[in-house]
Amino acid sequence: MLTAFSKSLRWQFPKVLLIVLLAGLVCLGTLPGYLAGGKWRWQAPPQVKVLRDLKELTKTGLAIPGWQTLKQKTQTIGEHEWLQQELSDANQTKATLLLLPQRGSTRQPQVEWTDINGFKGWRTDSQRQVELGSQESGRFTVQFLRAWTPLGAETLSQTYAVMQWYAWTNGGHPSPSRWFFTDRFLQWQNRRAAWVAVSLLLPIEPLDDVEKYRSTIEPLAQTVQSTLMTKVLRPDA
Amino acid sequence: MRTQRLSLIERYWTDVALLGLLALLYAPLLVHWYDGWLRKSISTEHEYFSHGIIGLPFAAYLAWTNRKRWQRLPEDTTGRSKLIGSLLLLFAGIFYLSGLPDAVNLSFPMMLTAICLWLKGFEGLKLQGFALCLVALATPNEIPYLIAPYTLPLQVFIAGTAGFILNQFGMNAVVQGIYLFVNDRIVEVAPYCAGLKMLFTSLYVGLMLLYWTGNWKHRSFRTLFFTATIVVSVIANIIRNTFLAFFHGTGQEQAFHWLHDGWGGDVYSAGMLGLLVVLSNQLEQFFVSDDSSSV
Repeated sequence: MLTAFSKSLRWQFPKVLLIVLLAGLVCLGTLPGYLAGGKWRWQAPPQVKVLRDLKELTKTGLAIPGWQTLKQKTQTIGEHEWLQQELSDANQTKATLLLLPQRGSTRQPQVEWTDINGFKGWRTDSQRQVELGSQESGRFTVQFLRAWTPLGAETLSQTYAVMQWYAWTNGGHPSPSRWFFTDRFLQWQNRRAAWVAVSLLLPIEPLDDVEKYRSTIEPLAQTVQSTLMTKVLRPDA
Repeated sequence: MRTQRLSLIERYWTDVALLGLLALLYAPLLVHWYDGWLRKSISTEHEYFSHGIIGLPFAAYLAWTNRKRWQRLPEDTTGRSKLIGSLLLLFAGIFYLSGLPDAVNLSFPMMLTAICLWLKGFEGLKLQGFALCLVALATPNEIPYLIAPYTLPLQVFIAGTAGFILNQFGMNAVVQGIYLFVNDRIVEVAPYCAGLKMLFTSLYVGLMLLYWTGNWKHRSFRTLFFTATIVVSVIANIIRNTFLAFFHGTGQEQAFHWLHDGWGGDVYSAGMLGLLVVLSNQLEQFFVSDDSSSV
């Protein structure tokens, strides 16, 4: 019997090698799960470690250096609860900050900008992407646009210069797919790209050229990003 | 008697071991997938692949019916398929060990393909090609998430058409982009309402139907059938969205939820898939009569 067995081994060598490899894979990858009583790592992505800080952010708001928060409230936009902060600086420049922090480890950014457009009933134009930040603090990209609500033939509502982006540690981009690939890359190091959706609204003259306001809104966007990074999206987390 | 039993073990122990190991590796994952499909407990993206509920057993059945031909295929001796097979096996192994949801999911079709290549080379891959294809297309991944931002034109189209239909029935419906205002109540045509899920499911089931009926071989049948499937799926989805807007606009919340996330949605899906069978049959008649007239 033994000789027959060894003969069949030689005859089926590739198959036997495959069996050995798969057995190794079972030992390394599957047995721990079975031993843990059916708990598998792949049931969920790695935990977002700053979830508690992100939750705290929705309660306390974000203190932005150089700016004073006049009013703060939660606002349901689409299906999600955003944090809305009315800001003012020393020159009485007014701005509105909308923040939506990640709520759970599996929650991914999706259509936040469309949600805001729908909620505000905005028309938008002059949309372009602007790269901000520095080499040290990490570069991030925002979408810069003009938004207004058409009310009727004569009346025009408030026009805004708007900057929007998903912020994460050392980066940011308005497109969810950019966040996705950053996050999936980090997952291989057992880390995550925790995110906060940021929408910054600067009131401007009716249908004025937004480019004129870039020097005002850009530093604010930089400050929001760097404050988020020191307060909640810490690199060590 | 004794020798016969020995030779049986001798002949099949490697196959049994291989299948057993594969089951150990992937049974928990498949249970997880099915649980997510049946109880809708994982994510919206995962539900896009719920056609796997029927697709995976069908693939297994096809592989099983191929077993005699598989056995008869000669061992692969060329280096190329072994090389590609082992590379694929390596990556499948790394993906599996990573423990990350996306990577582990992806490792399943990779592993199966690698095994086919490793054991029987390209001939083996060809034999199991369709079954492997069904498995790969039912493997949950994040492509629906990545394409969601690009469905906006489709959403606008659906909202516009649904609004138009409601207006024809004398309802007060105003369309603004992806928003429908019916009697001053707002309905949003969200990316996941764009009907891509039903479209993917229809195409997948259509693929199975084509294979099952053997119409796969006719190229014009294939093209016509898939085009018709897409058209029917889009029209059905517009009708569904119109009803949803109607229910919501007239304050029939119960009916809205029944169709939106209750078993009404399942009835809609079943009806849609039933329509595919009718479509396939109708087309077949058309093609058969066409064939006979040309003879």
